[in-house]
Amino acid sequence: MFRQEYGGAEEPVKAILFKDNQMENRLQNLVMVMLKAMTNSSIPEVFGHNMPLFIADSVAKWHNSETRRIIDSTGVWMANSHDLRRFVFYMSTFREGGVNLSRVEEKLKEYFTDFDGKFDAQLSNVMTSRMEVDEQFGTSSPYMCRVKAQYSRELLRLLDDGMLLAVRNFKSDSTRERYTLLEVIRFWPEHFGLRGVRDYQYFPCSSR
Amino acid sequence: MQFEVIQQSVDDWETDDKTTMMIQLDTLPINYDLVLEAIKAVR
Repeated sequence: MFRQEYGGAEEPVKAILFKDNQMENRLQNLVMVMLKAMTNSSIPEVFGHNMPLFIADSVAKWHNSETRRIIDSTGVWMANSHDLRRFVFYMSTFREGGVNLSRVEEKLKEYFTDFDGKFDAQLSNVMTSRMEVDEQFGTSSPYMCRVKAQYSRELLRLLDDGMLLAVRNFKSDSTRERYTLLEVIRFWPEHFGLRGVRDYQYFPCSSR
Repeated sequence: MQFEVIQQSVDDWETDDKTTMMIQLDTLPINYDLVLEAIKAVR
């Protein structure tokens, strides 16, 4: 007597033995017929897979791609709708609190300017530069740094190529503050709505 | 669709709306750091 143990259950197994390969095996025939019916040798992608499952997968992916476009498009539409702006970007109001300058920041103002608070920026990315010596910009830095700043029309007028930005360096210690100086080589305004637009997108409903 | 978004964004450029726009800067670090020794004394 064979017994199968699986998941805490113990069941007796009734074994069927065939005398030789000439014996009729209906169960095996059924399995083979089903397997043959569930494949298609003319579709290379299905090779080794279950045909109905392949079809279901393809249909699901098609629906996903269709819905994805609607979701993406709706996102762009909402980001650009003036009527929904206050709703979409309510999080940003957290930053608009009062500005309390500490004594340290007051001291820093002797050396640096943020154009009366207009230049509110973060170092966002440090990239390795393709050329160690850039003849176009006359520098020999193997790095390029991307800085992202809060938008302001006034700031756009104040910025210029060649300006120096100071970024607090991690080499600062208890006796001195160290700043890495970055030379601005180019700057540009960017609109989040336009950045998200793709050729395949469309508006889910007409906008104003 | 792209044209519509561009049309809608025209008004934004005239505002100071920080939620829809950003300024990006490419910068190169120069070879000399600025070291301030007086700053820490204030803390």
